[in-house]
Amino acid sequence: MLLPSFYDFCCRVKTISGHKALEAIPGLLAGMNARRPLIVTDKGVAAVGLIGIVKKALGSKLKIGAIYDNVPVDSDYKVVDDAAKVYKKKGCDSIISIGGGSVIDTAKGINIVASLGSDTLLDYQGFGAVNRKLNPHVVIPTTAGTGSEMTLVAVIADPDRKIKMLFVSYFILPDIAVLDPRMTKTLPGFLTAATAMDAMTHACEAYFCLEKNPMSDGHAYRAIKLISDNLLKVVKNPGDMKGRLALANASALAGVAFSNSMVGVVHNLGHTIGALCHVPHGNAMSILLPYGMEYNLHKSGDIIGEILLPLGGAEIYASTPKKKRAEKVVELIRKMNQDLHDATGGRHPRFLKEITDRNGKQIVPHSMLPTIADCMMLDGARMSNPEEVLPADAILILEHAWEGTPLNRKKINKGGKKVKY
Amino acid sequence: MNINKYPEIVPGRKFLKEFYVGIMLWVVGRALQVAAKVDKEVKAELAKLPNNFTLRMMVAPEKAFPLFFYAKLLPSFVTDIGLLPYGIQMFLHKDKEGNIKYIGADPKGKKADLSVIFTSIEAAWLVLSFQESTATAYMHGRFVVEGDLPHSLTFVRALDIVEVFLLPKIISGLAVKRYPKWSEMSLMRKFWKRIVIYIRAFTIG
Amino acid sequence: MHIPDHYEFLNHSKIISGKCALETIPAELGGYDAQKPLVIALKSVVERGLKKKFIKTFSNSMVVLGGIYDEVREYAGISLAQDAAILFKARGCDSIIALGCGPAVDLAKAVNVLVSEKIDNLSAHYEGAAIKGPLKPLIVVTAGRSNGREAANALVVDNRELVSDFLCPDVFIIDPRMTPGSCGESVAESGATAMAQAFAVLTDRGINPMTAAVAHPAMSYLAEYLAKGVKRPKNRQASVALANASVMASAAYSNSRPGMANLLAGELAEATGISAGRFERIILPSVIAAMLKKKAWIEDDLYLAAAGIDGYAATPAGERTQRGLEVSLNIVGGLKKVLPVSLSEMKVQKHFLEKAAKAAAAKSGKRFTEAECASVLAQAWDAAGKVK
Repeated sequence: MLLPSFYDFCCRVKTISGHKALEAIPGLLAGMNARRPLIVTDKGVAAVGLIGIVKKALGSKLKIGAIYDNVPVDSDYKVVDDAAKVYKKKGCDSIISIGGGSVIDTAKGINIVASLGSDTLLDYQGFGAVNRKLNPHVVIPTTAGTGSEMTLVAVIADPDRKIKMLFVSYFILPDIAVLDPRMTKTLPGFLTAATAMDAMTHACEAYFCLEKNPMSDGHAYRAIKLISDNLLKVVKNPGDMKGRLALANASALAGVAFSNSMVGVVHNLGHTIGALCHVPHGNAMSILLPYGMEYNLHKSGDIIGEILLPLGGAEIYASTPKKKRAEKVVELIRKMNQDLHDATGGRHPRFLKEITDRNGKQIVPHSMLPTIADCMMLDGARMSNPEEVLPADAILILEHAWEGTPLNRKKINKGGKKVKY
Repeated sequence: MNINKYPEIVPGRKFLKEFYVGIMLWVVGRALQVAAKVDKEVKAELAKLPNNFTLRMMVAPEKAFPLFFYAKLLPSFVTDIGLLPYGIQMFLHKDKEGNIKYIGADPKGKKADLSVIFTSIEAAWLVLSFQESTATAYMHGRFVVEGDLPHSLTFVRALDIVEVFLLPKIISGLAVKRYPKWSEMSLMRKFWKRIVIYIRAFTIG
Repeated sequence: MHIPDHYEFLNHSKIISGKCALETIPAELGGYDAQKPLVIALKSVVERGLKKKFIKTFSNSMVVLGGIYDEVREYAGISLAQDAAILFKARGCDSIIALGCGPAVDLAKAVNVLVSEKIDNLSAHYEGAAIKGPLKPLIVVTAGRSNGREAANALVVDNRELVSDFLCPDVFIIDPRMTPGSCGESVAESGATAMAQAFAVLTDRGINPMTAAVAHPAMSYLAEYLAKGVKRPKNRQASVALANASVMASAAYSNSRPGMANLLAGELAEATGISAGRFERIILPSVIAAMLKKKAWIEDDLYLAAAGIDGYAATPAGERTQRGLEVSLNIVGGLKKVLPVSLSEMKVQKHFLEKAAKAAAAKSGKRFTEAECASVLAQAWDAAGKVK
């Protein structure tokens, strides 16, 4: 296994996984001297009755301080401040967040404000502002994909200044992540597909991007394997609880991997498309993943080829010659997208031009591509991509991803040395 | 137990590396200032930064280098390099008209919008002696960024171009991810800019 | 891939490994708002002249070392911890750095409990009182011989164990300037410990993807570097890889159940006072031989980790368990005769074996019977489980 010249790895989230994982929460909170949690969630989660399941599982052992379910899709600091007020008013001493990426990020923000004592999140911007242990925070993810339960970043918008504030600190990491298949059971097929492909992208990019390290590899490998083994099964049979548990695990594993090894051009373009055209993150990821891999083939083809083992299985890996493995990986990912497209009745898009909103209108018009390519330069993920990405390169990728044709690899700008990890 | 057997230890300093890093920061600052004037690509890149913008590059921790009372007594070219009195740092300022200017190493009265902070003198040494490329150094946490991340990416991109201008391919090939082809940057342009930037950086700025 | 119906996993420590890793300590301490650490160092490490290098890495930082307490030898005792705690308080320190593995880390954890909980000894905690809150930041700089407890949530002082999640060190620093070993023997011993732990994790029936993900690189590094590291203990790359393996194996192991080799070696070590690593070296081949004989089914992870991706894929699915065990046997075989290979060579008294088998079977939670343990020990007595 590769030994990097330098790496760091940290994931201090305690993971509880299982079909009855929720029931363990009261005991764990008591172990951290917490008795009165604030539940943070959004209206969507509350509407499908997940709060009820959690409440039932918590039982009478734990007194819930309050339930805050006003988290919007694009959360901002005002929501955080508002919820922190509720937290203080009700005398809570810990947080349980139930939801997807937005809810978890908001809860991380609430924990900063509530634990460190100020009234507003704006006081804690900047490097090193969060510098001591926060109150206990339990995360119950309801979408198996974002991996936010394992990351030390909270992205919270400031609508007044029109920026996204980034909070990065090891203290922001939640204390406990609870992976319980009951929480993802109601997720419809196309969302399951999108979120799982998001996790797949995390894992694949973690495996070949510059900050890759032995620990992140171990996690990424298992995430890829679990997703490729289980995703199609779960989409076809939503009640498959074992498969659901596997996907929840995969998402957490991928979260650990990518938060320690960072992500590359796929996320770079995906974030930008998401910000400019409001494309759902998971869809952008699943579409761009094969292109991102193709783009880096000449720099880290050997590494990408290794992904074939967890993705395709030992037989395919052994029967494919070494030089063709990376291309086979790309092919399999494309096939996976196609299969999901078929299994969800076309609701899982394969190309950028296929993404539509509720009225059937194209979300990413072809005319937007140059704008996306320019704005891509401002996203941090481009730093950790093995190959340099400049606007001209981005256009190349985007054009192909829009049309749905494989990347013309002859046109990629090559140069410089092989990647040294 | 005799606690005096285990004395308190105040670690020393690495003067040579301080000196080298200080000079390199000065060169980087001046070179960026000149490159922004003479090269279109760098100019276009730095135009993405807002006007009236101050950028700081420094080696952490700042407080390890106290402001000595005799700082003002030293000749300005010593303090400008950023040695000793102000800690190892440099400031670049983009004024209202969009001109980039190196404004010395004295942090007094300057508020940085974006700080690029090397986590230790050794980290700065690794990066500025080109043992690690900018991207690798960022991956390895050799420097952290305080301020808006997009701005720091702009800055790093500008720095990459300037490195290609200033250094022979053998060295700058280590520092950037992809060395530009002739079609992207002609030899003529590269060598001409190399001479101009060097001369102007050390003279008129 | 197997996912158990319920599992819990925690790997608290951050790992920083590689070039200039030591120079990150001031920044790490800064993240905890600390700048005056007490250093608890192994005497052997200091005697090898690493102290000077260590101090030098703090140049140009705000960190002041509150003192280097270098009285730790082979044994971590409470009196040493109390002395260090006095030093800690007298100098007004706010964090702890353990320089060296094994007893230095145990002691640092003990000191950390003493100073954070403001108590004089650990007796209340031995009797079951829980450690209340987060302790002071603890950074471990790996060097010297590991005892496999570094990344665990436990400490052993005066042969008594204390377990709490708060005891996990916060940061591990693995720096090529510190890791090279003094002799093949100590490398072999740490390697045997790590090997036994990684093997226990990867062959455990309750294995979950998280522990597997952490034990996988540990096993891979052992497979690749153990023989090389023992032959050339000063080799930097091998020593860094093995130090990584030690830390990872110990982190995974603390989330898993002990295997037979660990239990038996632990019992024998307690009875004889010889370190467990030496016994693990002897017992592990016999355990593997017994598993080979029994044709027990184990997860693919073991073979994948030990043989690497290409070797794994080239082997038919049915043979992977068998081949995994064989490769593991080879890895232990890479230690050659650096350490004794049979219990008789160690001159262990025979009546210890019986007791050890009994105690290990009792501690295993009905996973192994006393007869199984005894037969393994009998094999290990005259090294029947020889390397192929």
